[in-house]
Amino acid sequence: MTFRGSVALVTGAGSGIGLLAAQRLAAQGARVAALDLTAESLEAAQRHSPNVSAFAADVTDPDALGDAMARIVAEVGPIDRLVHAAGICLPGRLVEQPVEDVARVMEVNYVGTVRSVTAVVGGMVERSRGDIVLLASMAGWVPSFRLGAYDASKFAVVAYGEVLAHELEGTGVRTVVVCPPPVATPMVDAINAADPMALGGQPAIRAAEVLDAAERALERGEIFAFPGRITRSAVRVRRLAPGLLWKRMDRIERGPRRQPRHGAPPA
Amino acid sequence: MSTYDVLGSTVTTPVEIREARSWFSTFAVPFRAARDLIAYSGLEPAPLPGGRALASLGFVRYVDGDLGPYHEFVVALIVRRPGGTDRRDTGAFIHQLPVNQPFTCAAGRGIWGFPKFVTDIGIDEGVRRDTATLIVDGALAVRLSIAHGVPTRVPDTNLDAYSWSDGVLRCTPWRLDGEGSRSRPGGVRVELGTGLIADELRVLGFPRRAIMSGTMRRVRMTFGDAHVVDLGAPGPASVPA
Repeated sequence: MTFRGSVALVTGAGSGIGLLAAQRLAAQGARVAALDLTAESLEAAQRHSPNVSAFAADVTDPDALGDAMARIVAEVGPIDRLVHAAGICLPGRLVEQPVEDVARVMEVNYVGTVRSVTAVVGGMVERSRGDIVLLASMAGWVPSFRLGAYDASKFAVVAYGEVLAHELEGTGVRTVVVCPPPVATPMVDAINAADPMALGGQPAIRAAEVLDAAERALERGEIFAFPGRITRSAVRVRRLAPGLLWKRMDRIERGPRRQPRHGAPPA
Repeated sequence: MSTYDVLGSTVTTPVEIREARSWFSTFAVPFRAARDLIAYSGLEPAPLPGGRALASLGFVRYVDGDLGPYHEFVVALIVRRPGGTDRRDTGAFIHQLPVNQPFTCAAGRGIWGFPKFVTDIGIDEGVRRDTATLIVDGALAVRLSIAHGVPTRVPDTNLDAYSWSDGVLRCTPWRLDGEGSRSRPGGVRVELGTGLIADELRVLGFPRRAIMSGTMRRVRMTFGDAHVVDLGAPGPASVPA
């Protein structure tokens, strides 16, 4: 697929999956509006690419996002593809996590998705064309310890995206909800630094695999993309036998039940 | 290490490509036709048995690098320096190198004398094969479709990339390594359209079967400074550009 002449909006374009999406779309000839919190963080997305324009806005700030959207449409054009990659993760146990952290994760990941989609979907339906690529997560299907806030926000994105896709059927607007396992990005580095146990040592896949899977799902008309080798199976296990999965995660979280060693000296 | 001003920003050599995906295909083409095609450069193709020479068609999706993100289509011939006897005297002569972004075009021409020009290049990654569509002046020039092969190991490669621009032949040290290499014999479909590049390929007997084709999912490259090559002088005839 060539995007020459089309317009893409990428949120979270400063790093990780968003950065790669912006670079790829630019290489493919699209005019790319790259959005992130600060203009400085968009330097990498813009480097030597005249068809990438930087816009600084917080997706949770309706006024700032509205201003940015108006400028994007005026300066770059009406949006043909939204890649919503803006997201955060604050790992922690729910019983200890301040409510502000949990709310913040929901605000960025879920409400940010809603705001970004709402800003573009009307125009897409009017023009009978458009692609909406939402970065959810495998965590939107498979919850786990220490990621409760993130899991809840991604469950919300998965539900939102699924309903959205069905609402948009027959309008010419395609939707894909991308559900990757951990991806080698600054966000996952930060999670591992904050809490090495949070991801349970799952290997990270590459951002390129995530975008390839999203592209394939769009072509095939599938609502969900599950990049990574075992992602789809993990989702299936979760749906069919959630108890089994929790048992396994419980073992990882709390360690195996200690058997008293034969002949061990008394404590 | 040198610095260059490209469209108002500074580019420093060696130029680093941190992530790209590349596709290649190799063909045995008639030696005489290949020789005539690149005679302007003063170079000759490296001869193969049976009056053949090696031509290579490929395309690259540059994702993260000093020259920004862009697509590139490559028409190259394996050449030797006249009088050269040992294997180090071969290299890749870059005959055509369209790209789809102006910055890399300006950098490529200015720093190394690569024959870049800006046009429309689409890369479509499919389930079984990947296809590049080169559009020049609004019309299809070449469509190159490469099948996914089987996993192979490719050693780190140091190549001499030759380029000719405005009467000057240059040689650029080109280092390449990466992961996710797949290749197979054959595996290529070439569709020719109109225009100069398509006509040149017809002269080389295209569309024809490939000897080999493949892709490398994650490529890193380094391009050093170009040296002007003086074909008149004997021995290692390179002087700094």
